[in-house]
Amino acid sequence: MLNLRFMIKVLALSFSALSILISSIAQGHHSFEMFDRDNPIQITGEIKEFQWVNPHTWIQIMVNEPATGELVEWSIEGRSPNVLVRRGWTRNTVQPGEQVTLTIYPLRNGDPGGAIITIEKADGSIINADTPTAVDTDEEGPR
Amino acid sequence: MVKNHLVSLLIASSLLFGANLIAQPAAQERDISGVWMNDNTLDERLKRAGLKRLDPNSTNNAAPAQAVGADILTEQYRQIYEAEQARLAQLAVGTASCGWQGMPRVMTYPYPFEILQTPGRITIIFETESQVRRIFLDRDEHLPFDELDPSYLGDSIGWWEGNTLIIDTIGFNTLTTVGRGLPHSEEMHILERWQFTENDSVIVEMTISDPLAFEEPIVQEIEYSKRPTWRIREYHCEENNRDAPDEEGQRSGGLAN
Repeated sequence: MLNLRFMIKVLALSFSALSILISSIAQGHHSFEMFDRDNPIQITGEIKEFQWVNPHTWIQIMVNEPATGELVEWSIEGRSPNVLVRRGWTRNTVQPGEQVTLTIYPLRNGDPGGAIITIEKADGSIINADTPTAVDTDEEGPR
Repeated sequence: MVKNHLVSLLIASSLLFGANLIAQPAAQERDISGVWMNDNTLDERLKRAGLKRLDPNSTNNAAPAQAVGADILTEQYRQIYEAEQARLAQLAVGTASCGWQGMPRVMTYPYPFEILQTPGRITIIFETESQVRRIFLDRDEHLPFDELDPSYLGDSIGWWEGNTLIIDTIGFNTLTTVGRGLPHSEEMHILERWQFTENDSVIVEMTISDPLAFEEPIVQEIEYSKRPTWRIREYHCEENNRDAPDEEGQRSGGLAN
Protein backbone atom coordinates (compact mmCIF):
# COMPACT_ATOMS: atom_id res chain seq x y z
CA MET A 1 0.00 0.00 0.00
CA LEU A 2 2.69 2.46 0.97
CA ASN A 3 4.91 1.36 -1.91
CA LEU A 4 2.46 2.19 -4.64
CA ARG A 5 1.68 5.65 -3.33
CA PHE A 6 5.35 6.39 -2.82
CA MET A 7 6.15 5.20 -6.29
CA ILE A 8 3.50 7.38 -7.80
CA LYS A 9 4.76 10.39 -5.90
CA VAL A 10 8.33 9.75 -7.02
CA LEU A 11 7.23 9.40 -10.60
CA ALA A 12 5.14 12.54 -10.41
CA LEU A 13 8.02 14.56 -8.97
CA SER A 14 10.60 13.25 -11.38
CA PHE A 15 8.76 14.42 -14.47
CA SER A 16 10.28 17.60 -15.78
CA ALA A 17 6.91 19.17 -15.43
CA LEU A 18 5.96 21.15 -18.46
CA SER A 19 3.68 23.38 -16.47
CA ILE A 20 1.45 24.80 -19.08
CA LEU A 21 -1.81 26.10 -17.79
CA ILE A 22 -4.61 24.99 -19.97
CA SER A 23 -8.12 25.75 -18.94
CA SER A 24 -9.56 23.72 -21.73
CA ILE A 25 -7.55 21.36 -23.80
CA ALA A 26 -10.13 21.17 -26.43
CA GLN A 27 -11.31 20.04 -29.73
CA GLY A 28 -14.59 21.59 -30.59
CA HIS A 29 -17.57 19.42 -31.33
CA HIS A 30 -17.32 20.71 -34.83
CA SER A 31 -15.28 23.39 -36.47
CA PHE A 32 -16.56 26.92 -36.31
CA GLU A 33 -14.68 27.55 -39.54
CA MET A 34 -17.67 26.94 -41.73
CA PHE A 35 -19.15 30.22 -40.53
CA ASP A 36 -17.96 33.62 -41.71
CA ARG A 37 -17.07 35.28 -38.45
CA ASP A 38 -15.87 38.44 -40.14
CA ASN A 39 -19.16 39.28 -41.81
CA PRO A 40 -22.22 38.80 -39.63
CA ILE A 41 -25.55 39.45 -41.34
CA GLN A 42 -29.14 39.98 -40.32
CA ILE A 43 -32.08 37.95 -41.53
CA THR A 44 -35.73 38.70 -40.84
CA GLY A 45 -38.69 36.40 -41.05
CA GLU A 46 -41.21 34.19 -39.33
CA ILE A 47 -40.18 31.38 -37.02
CA LYS A 48 -41.21 28.00 -38.34
CA GLU A 49 -39.75 25.90 -35.56
CA PHE A 50 -37.44 26.09 -32.53
CA GLN A 51 -35.65 22.83 -31.81
CA TRP A 52 -34.73 22.71 -28.15
CA VAL A 53 -32.46 19.65 -28.44
CA ASN A 54 -28.85 18.57 -28.11
CA PRO A 55 -26.17 18.93 -29.26
CA HIS A 56 -27.40 22.17 -30.86
CA THR A 57 -30.60 24.12 -30.66
CA TRP A 58 -31.88 25.09 -34.09
CA ILE A 59 -34.09 27.93 -35.28
CA GLN A 60 -35.91 27.28 -38.51
CA ILE A 61 -36.92 30.63 -39.99
CA MET A 62 -38.71 31.52 -43.25
CA VAL A 63 -36.86 34.39 -44.91
CA ASN A 64 -38.01 36.41 -47.88
CA GLU A 65 -35.15 36.39 -50.41
CA PRO A 66 -35.07 39.91 -51.87
CA ALA A 67 -33.52 38.77 -55.15
CA THR A 68 -36.12 36.17 -56.03
CA GLY A 69 -39.00 37.17 -53.80
CA GLU A 70 -39.42 33.59 -52.65
CA LEU A 71 -39.54 32.27 -49.11
CA VAL A 72 -36.46 30.30 -48.14
CA GLU A 73 -36.12 28.24 -44.98
CA TRP A 74 -32.92 29.04 -43.09
CA SER A 75 -31.46 26.71 -40.45
CA ILE A 76 -29.72 28.65 -37.71
CA GLU A 77 -27.84 26.68 -35.10
CA GLY A 78 -27.26 27.72 -31.51
CA ARG A 79 -25.84 26.51 -28.24
CA SER A 80 -26.96 23.46 -26.36
CA PRO A 81 -30.11 23.88 -24.26
CA ASN A 82 -27.96 22.82 -21.30
CA VAL A 83 -25.98 26.03 -21.76
CA LEU A 84 -28.84 28.33 -22.75
CA VAL A 85 -31.08 27.34 -19.86
CA ARG A 86 -28.41 28.51 -17.45
CA ARG A 87 -28.37 31.84 -19.22
CA GLY A 88 -32.08 32.43 -18.91
CA TRP A 89 -33.48 30.75 -22.01
CA THR A 90 -36.28 28.19 -21.96
CA ARG A 91 -37.83 25.96 -24.59
CA ASN A 92 -40.45 28.70 -25.04
CA THR A 93 -38.08 31.62 -25.57
CA VAL A 94 -38.67 31.35 -29.31
CA GLN A 95 -42.14 30.44 -30.61
CA PRO A 96 -43.36 29.39 -34.04
CA GLY A 97 -45.13 32.25 -35.78
CA GLU A 98 -43.02 35.00 -34.21
CA GLN A 99 -41.56 37.71 -36.43
CA VAL A 100 -37.89 38.12 -35.54
CA THR A 101 -34.60 39.46 -36.80
CA LEU A 102 -31.60 37.22 -36.27
CA THR A 103 -28.01 38.40 -36.34
CA ILE A 104 -25.91 35.48 -37.48
CA TYR A 105 -22.56 34.36 -38.81
CA PRO A 106 -23.61 32.98 -42.17
CA LEU A 107 -22.27 29.83 -43.78
CA ARG A 108 -19.28 30.64 -45.94
CA ASN A 109 -20.60 28.56 -48.81
CA GLY A 110 -23.72 30.70 -49.19
CA ASP A 111 -26.20 28.03 -48.17
CA PRO A 112 -29.18 29.22 -46.09
CA GLY A 113 -27.69 28.58 -42.68
CA GLY A 114 -25.59 30.12 -39.96
CA ALA A 115 -24.71 30.39 -36.29
CA ILE A 116 -26.86 32.63 -34.13
CA ILE A 117 -25.49 35.69 -32.33
CA THR A 118 -28.60 37.56 -31.22
CA ILE A 119 -32.34 37.47 -31.75
CA GLU A 120 -34.48 40.62 -31.86
CA LYS A 121 -38.11 40.09 -31.03
CA ALA A 122 -41.11 41.96 -32.42
CA ASP A 123 -41.26 44.08 -29.26
CA GLY A 124 -37.70 45.26 -29.86
CA SER A 125 -36.10 43.24 -27.08
CA ILE A 126 -32.81 41.56 -27.92
CA ILE A 127 -31.71 38.22 -26.56
CA ASN A 128 -28.14 37.10 -26.78
CA ALA A 129 -27.48 33.60 -27.95
CA ASP A 130 -23.81 33.75 -27.11
CA THR A 131 -22.36 31.94 -30.02
CA PRO A 132 -18.70 32.56 -29.33
CA THR A 133 -17.43 35.55 -31.21
CA ALA A 134 -14.03 36.35 -32.54
CA VAL A 135 -12.26 34.84 -29.59
CA ASP A 136 -11.53 31.24 -30.41
CA THR A 137 -11.79 29.77 -26.97
CA ASP A 138 -11.25 26.36 -28.45
CA GLU A 139 -13.81 25.20 -26.01
CA GLU A 140 -15.20 21.80 -25.62
CA GLY A 141 -18.73 21.12 -26.56
CA PRO A 142 -20.86 22.44 -29.37
CA ARG A 143 -20.70 26.11 -30.15
CA MET B 1 -42.89 -5.25 32.72
CA VAL B 2 -42.87 -1.64 31.54
CA LYS B 3 -39.17 -1.44 32.21
CA ASN B 4 -38.56 -4.47 29.93
CA HIS B 5 -40.54 -2.83 27.16
CA LEU B 6 -38.60 0.38 27.61
CA VAL B 7 -35.30 -1.46 27.41
CA SER B 8 -36.41 -3.27 24.23
CA LEU B 9 -37.50 0.04 22.77
CA LEU B 10 -34.17 1.63 23.61
CA ILE B 11 -32.20 -1.21 22.08
CA ALA B 12 -34.35 -1.18 18.96
CA SER B 13 -33.97 2.60 18.57
CA SER B 14 -30.24 2.54 18.98
CA LEU B 15 -29.96 -0.20 16.38
CA LEU B 16 -32.17 1.73 14.03
CA PHE B 17 -30.45 5.06 14.35
CA GLY B 18 -26.99 3.60 14.66
CA ALA B 19 -27.23 1.93 11.29
CA ASN B 20 -25.79 3.85 8.38
CA LEU B 21 -29.09 4.17 6.56
CA ILE B 22 -28.09 7.25 4.64
CA ALA B 23 -25.03 7.04 2.43
CA GLN B 24 -22.67 9.73 3.55
CA PRO B 25 -18.95 10.22 3.64
CA ALA B 26 -17.01 8.69 6.48
CA ALA B 27 -16.67 11.07 9.41
CA GLN B 28 -13.07 12.05 8.64
CA GLU B 29 -13.71 12.73 4.93
CA ARG B 30 -14.66 16.14 3.69
CA ASP B 31 -18.18 16.37 2.27
CA ILE B 32 -17.75 17.15 -1.42
CA SER B 33 -21.11 15.86 -2.60
CA GLY B 34 -23.28 18.01 -4.83
CA VAL B 35 -23.29 19.61 -8.26
CA TRP B 36 -20.04 21.17 -9.47
CA MET B 37 -19.29 23.27 -12.54
CA ASN B 38 -16.15 24.31 -14.42
CA ASP B 39 -15.67 28.00 -13.60
CA ASN B 40 -13.78 28.95 -16.72
CA THR B 41 -15.98 27.91 -19.59
CA LEU B 42 -16.98 30.68 -21.96
CA ASP B 43 -20.42 31.05 -20.41
CA GLU B 44 -19.16 31.15 -16.86
CA ARG B 45 -16.61 33.81 -17.73
CA LEU B 46 -19.31 35.84 -19.49
CA LYS B 47 -21.59 35.64 -16.49
CA ARG B 48 -18.85 36.62 -14.07
CA ALA B 49 -17.87 39.58 -16.21
CA GLY B 50 -21.49 40.62 -16.63
CA LEU B 51 -21.08 40.44 -20.38
CA LYS B 52 -23.55 39.18 -22.87
CA ARG B 53 -20.98 38.44 -25.52
CA LEU B 54 -17.25 38.54 -25.62
CA ASP B 55 -15.99 41.77 -27.05
CA PRO B 56 -13.82 40.69 -29.95
CA ASN B 57 -11.65 43.77 -29.45
CA SER B 58 -11.12 43.25 -25.77
CA THR B 59 -7.92 41.89 -24.36
CA ASN B 60 -9.72 41.15 -21.13
CA ASN B 61 -11.32 37.90 -22.08
CA ALA B 62 -9.55 35.94 -19.38
CA ALA B 63 -9.02 33.11 -21.80
CA PRO B 64 -6.11 31.28 -20.36
CA ALA B 65 -2.72 30.90 -21.83
CA GLN B 66 -1.43 28.64 -24.49
CA ALA B 67 -2.58 25.17 -25.03
CA VAL B 68 -0.53 22.15 -25.82
CA GLY B 69 -0.05 21.38 -29.48
CA ALA B 70 1.00 18.47 -31.63
CA ASP B 71 4.67 19.15 -30.91
CA ILE B 72 4.26 17.34 -27.60
CA LEU B 73 3.72 14.08 -29.43
CA THR B 74 6.40 11.47 -29.98
CA GLU B 75 7.41 10.81 -33.57
CA GLN B 76 5.22 7.72 -33.81
CA TYR B 77 2.15 9.47 -32.45
CA ARG B 78 2.74 12.54 -34.55
CA GLN B 79 2.30 10.28 -37.56
CA ILE B 80 -0.91 8.88 -36.15
CA TYR B 81 -2.12 12.43 -35.54
CA GLU B 82 -1.28 13.62 -39.04
CA ALA B 83 -2.94 10.62 -40.67
CA GLU B 84 -6.13 11.37 -38.75
CA GLN B 85 -5.99 15.07 -39.63
CA ALA B 86 -5.64 14.09 -43.28
CA ARG B 87 -8.66 11.83 -42.98
CA LEU B 88 -10.71 14.57 -41.34
CA ALA B 89 -9.71 17.01 -44.04
CA GLN B 90 -11.57 14.83 -46.53
CA LEU B 91 -14.82 15.51 -44.75
CA ALA B 92 -16.87 18.63 -45.23
CA VAL B 93 -16.06 21.37 -42.75
CA GLY B 94 -18.25 21.02 -39.71
CA THR B 95 -18.91 17.29 -39.94
CA ALA B 96 -18.90 15.80 -36.49
CA SER B 97 -20.13 12.59 -35.01
CA CYS B 98 -21.03 12.02 -31.39
CA GLY B 99 -19.11 9.87 -28.98
CA TRP B 100 -17.97 9.69 -25.41
CA GLN B 101 -15.28 12.17 -24.55
CA GLY B 102 -13.82 9.95 -21.81
CA MET B 103 -10.90 11.15 -19.74
CA PRO B 104 -9.53 13.72 -19.69
CA ARG B 105 -11.83 15.71 -21.98
CA VAL B 106 -15.02 15.07 -20.04
CA MET B 107 -13.46 17.12 -17.24
CA THR B 108 -13.33 20.30 -19.34
CA TYR B 109 -16.71 20.10 -21.05
CA PRO B 110 -19.04 23.06 -20.40
CA TYR B 111 -21.62 21.05 -18.45
CA PRO B 112 -21.67 20.25 -14.74
CA PHE B 113 -21.16 17.01 -12.84
CA GLU B 114 -22.41 15.67 -9.57
CA ILE B 115 -20.36 13.96 -6.87
CA LEU B 116 -21.78 11.23 -4.70
CA GLN B 117 -19.91 9.95 -1.67
CA THR B 118 -20.54 6.50 -0.25
CA PRO B 119 -18.30 4.41 2.02
CA GLY B 120 -15.05 3.62 0.24
CA ARG B 121 -16.12 5.31 -2.97
CA ILE B 122 -16.54 8.61 -4.77
CA THR B 123 -18.76 8.56 -7.82
CA ILE B 124 -18.77 11.39 -10.35
CA ILE B 125 -21.72 11.55 -12.72
CA PHE B 126 -21.23 13.95 -15.62
CA GLU B 127 -24.12 15.73 -17.30
CA THR B 128 -22.21 15.09 -20.53
CA GLU B 129 -23.66 11.85 -21.84
CA SER B 130 -24.15 10.63 -18.25
CA GLN B 131 -20.58 9.39 -18.19
CA VAL B 132 -19.53 8.04 -14.79
CA ARG B 133 -16.20 7.97 -13.01
CA ARG B 134 -15.94 5.57 -10.11
CA ILE B 135 -13.10 6.43 -7.73
CA PHE B 136 -12.23 3.54 -5.42
CA LEU B 137 -10.98 4.73 -2.04
CA ASP B 138 -11.00 1.24 -0.61
CA ARG B 139 -8.48 -0.08 -3.10
CA ASP B 140 -4.85 0.97 -3.25
CA GLU B 141 -3.90 -0.92 -6.36
CA HIS B 142 -5.20 -0.81 -9.88
CA LEU B 143 -6.83 -3.85 -11.36
CA PRO B 144 -4.31 -6.13 -13.05
CA PHE B 145 -3.91 -5.32 -16.71
CA ASP B 146 -5.38 -8.56 -17.96
CA GLU B 147 -8.54 -7.83 -15.96
CA LEU B 148 -8.64 -4.21 -17.01
CA ASP B 149 -10.50 -3.88 -20.26
CA PRO B 150 -9.32 -0.50 -21.54
CA SER B 151 -12.15 1.96 -21.15
CA TYR B 152 -13.15 5.55 -21.84
CA LEU B 153 -12.84 6.63 -18.21
CA GLY B 154 -10.20 4.27 -16.87
CA ASP B 155 -9.71 2.58 -13.50
CA SER B 156 -9.43 5.16 -10.72
CA ILE B 157 -8.12 4.73 -7.19
CA GLY B 158 -8.09 7.61 -4.76
CA TRP B 159 -7.07 8.72 -1.29
CA TRP B 160 -7.27 11.84 0.85
CA GLU B 161 -4.34 13.91 2.05
CA GLY B 162 -5.97 16.47 4.32
CA ASN B 163 -8.16 18.62 2.09
CA THR B 164 -6.66 17.24 -1.09
CA LEU B 165 -8.08 14.25 -2.93
CA ILE B 166 -5.55 12.35 -5.02
CA ILE B 167 -6.89 10.28 -7.92
CA ASP B 168 -4.73 7.95 -9.96
CA THR B 169 -6.18 6.54 -13.18
CA ILE B 170 -4.94 4.08 -15.78
CA GLY B 171 -6.47 1.65 -18.25
CA PHE B 172 -7.66 3.85 -21.08
CA ASN B 173 -8.83 2.76 -24.50
CA THR B 174 -7.65 4.65 -27.58
CA LEU B 175 -11.07 5.82 -28.73
CA THR B 176 -10.58 9.29 -27.28
CA THR B 177 -8.23 12.21 -27.72
CA VAL B 178 -6.57 14.37 -25.12
CA GLY B 179 -7.71 17.60 -26.69
CA ARG B 180 -7.05 19.42 -29.94
CA GLY B 181 -7.26 16.00 -31.49
CA LEU B 182 -4.10 14.71 -29.80
CA PRO B 183 -4.04 10.91 -29.75
CA HIS B 184 -2.83 8.82 -26.82
CA SER B 185 -2.00 5.17 -26.14
CA GLU B 186 -3.33 2.62 -23.67
CA GLU B 187 -0.36 3.56 -21.50
CA MET B 188 -1.84 6.95 -20.64
CA HIS B 189 -1.75 7.71 -16.94
CA ILE B 190 -3.64 10.54 -15.28
CA LEU B 191 -2.78 11.80 -11.82
CA GLU B 192 -5.09 14.38 -10.28
CA ARG B 193 -4.80 16.48 -7.15
CA TRP B 194 -8.16 17.92 -6.17
CA GLN B 195 -7.32 20.81 -3.83
CA PHE B 196 -10.51 21.82 -2.05
CA THR B 197 -10.81 25.29 -0.60
CA GLU B 198 -12.97 26.69 2.17
CA ASN B 199 -15.35 28.47 -0.20
CA ASP B 200 -16.69 25.35 -1.90
CA SER B 201 -14.37 25.45 -4.83
CA VAL B 202 -11.67 23.07 -5.99
CA ILE B 203 -8.60 23.37 -8.16
CA VAL B 204 -7.83 20.16 -9.98
CA GLU B 205 -4.20 19.84 -11.00
CA MET B 206 -4.07 17.14 -13.62
CA THR B 207 -0.89 15.52 -14.94
CA ILE B 208 -1.35 13.44 -18.08
CA SER B 209 1.57 11.25 -19.05
CA ASP B 210 1.97 8.73 -21.81
CA PRO B 211 5.39 7.21 -22.43
CA LEU B 212 4.41 6.13 -25.93
CA ALA B 213 2.58 9.21 -27.12
CA PHE B 214 3.93 12.28 -25.30
CA GLU B 215 7.47 13.57 -25.08
CA GLU B 216 6.59 15.19 -21.76
CA PRO B 217 3.62 15.08 -19.40
CA ILE B 218 0.82 17.56 -19.94
CA VAL B 219 -0.14 19.51 -16.83
CA GLN B 220 -3.34 21.46 -16.61
CA GLU B 221 -5.35 23.16 -13.89
CA ILE B 222 -9.12 23.32 -13.88
CA GLU B 223 -11.21 25.19 -11.36
CA TYR B 224 -14.71 24.14 -10.32
CA SER B 225 -17.17 25.43 -7.77
CA LYS B 226 -20.25 23.99 -6.14
CA ARG B 227 -23.58 25.09 -7.61
CA PRO B 228 -26.24 24.54 -4.96
CA THR B 229 -29.09 25.74 -7.21
CA TRP B 230 -28.17 23.70 -10.28
CA ARG B 231 -29.65 20.32 -11.11
CA ILE B 232 -28.07 17.85 -13.48
CA ARG B 233 -29.85 17.69 -16.84
CA GLU B 234 -29.49 15.24 -19.69
CA TYR B 235 -27.11 15.71 -22.56
CA HIS B 236 -27.35 13.17 -25.36
CA CYS B 237 -25.43 14.18 -28.44
CA GLU B 238 -27.17 11.64 -30.66
CA GLU B 239 -30.54 13.20 -29.89
CA ASN B 240 -30.48 15.49 -32.89
CA ASN B 241 -27.02 15.58 -34.36
CA ARG B 242 -27.59 17.46 -37.59
CA ASP B 243 -23.83 17.62 -38.13
CA ALA B 244 -23.60 13.87 -38.40
CA PRO B 245 -21.77 12.45 -41.38
CA ASP B 246 -23.93 11.04 -44.14
CA GLU B 247 -23.28 7.86 -46.17
CA GLU B 248 -20.33 9.48 -47.86
CA GLY B 249 -18.97 10.74 -44.57
CA GLN B 250 -19.92 14.30 -45.39
CA ARG B 251 -21.81 16.59 -43.06
CA SER B 252 -25.50 16.56 -43.78
CA GLY B 253 -25.21 20.32 -43.30
CA GLY B 254 -27.94 20.69 -40.77
CA LEU B 255 -29.96 22.40 -43.46
CA ALA B 256 -33.64 21.93 -44.08
CA ASN B 257 -34.10 19.98 -47.28
